Amino acid sequence: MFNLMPLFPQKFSNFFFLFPLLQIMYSPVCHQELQKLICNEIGCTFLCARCTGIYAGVFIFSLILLLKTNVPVYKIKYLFIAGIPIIVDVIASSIGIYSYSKLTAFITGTIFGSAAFYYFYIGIQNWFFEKGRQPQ
Amino acid sequence: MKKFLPSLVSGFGAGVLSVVPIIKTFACCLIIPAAATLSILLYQRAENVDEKIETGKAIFLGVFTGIFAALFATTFEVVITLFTKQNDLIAAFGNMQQMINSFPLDDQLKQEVIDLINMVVTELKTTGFSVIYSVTLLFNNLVINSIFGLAGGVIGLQIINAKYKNR
Repeated sequence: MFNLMPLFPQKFSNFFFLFPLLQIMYSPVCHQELQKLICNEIGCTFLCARCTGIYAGVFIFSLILLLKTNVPVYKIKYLFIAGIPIIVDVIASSIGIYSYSKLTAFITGTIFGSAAFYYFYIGIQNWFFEKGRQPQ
Repeated sequence: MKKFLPSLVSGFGAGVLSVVPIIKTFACCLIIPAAATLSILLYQRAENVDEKIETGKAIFLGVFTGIFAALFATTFEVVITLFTKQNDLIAAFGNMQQMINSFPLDDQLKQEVIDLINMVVTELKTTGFSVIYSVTLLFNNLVINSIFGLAGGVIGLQIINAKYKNR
């Protein structure tokens, strides 16, 4: 949500003093290259399209997992498979096979973010399971 | 102290890499989770564990790797700024001013925000140190690195434990 604030500054005018701070706070998370940010006519997101996609994937998948209680456990290799589109996109756009697209970056980021959150969720679920098994 | 050693070692490595130009772009998303995974591997070696590691242990190691990485990265960044009187905030100040001015908001509010950053930038340029900047950086690194360390620990554990699946 913070990432989308600059796109609608009037709606978040009470938090405007936070904008420069958020800009700095997000800098270790993302390169924040100006041409890779998602922009409208007023402003641009703090994060690039790919990072926005990753966090959107995390957010969307967390909502899905809130509604779905019985989640099957898949092998960890699918996390690496979910990362392949990002790697292919980064390499292909870097060597000029096609030009950088914010939409592709966003979608590949969303796929990876969703997978990463899924395995994080499974890990946390395991943790609760292990805690439940421990003798009191 | 022994239980913190794997986190301390990998956190130090991550802290060093977090201040290296270009590489630091990947600090939180790749380096910190990788360091958290490394700390689990180091723990396995140090304790001679050849069985599944519990998630609670991985979370502990991951979070502390993040915390140590944050402490080291902030210390290195502050010390480097002290000597060079240059850092990312000074470099980004021009763009930041443009960004703030481009927003359709009250001029007085925009000026107050710019003045605050300007004060920090001036301090950094003249003395190489700013309390506001250092505290913000430490807080920022502690929060972000702990979260990514935790995530790295939990996900990294599943990669490490995958080989014990059939035992």
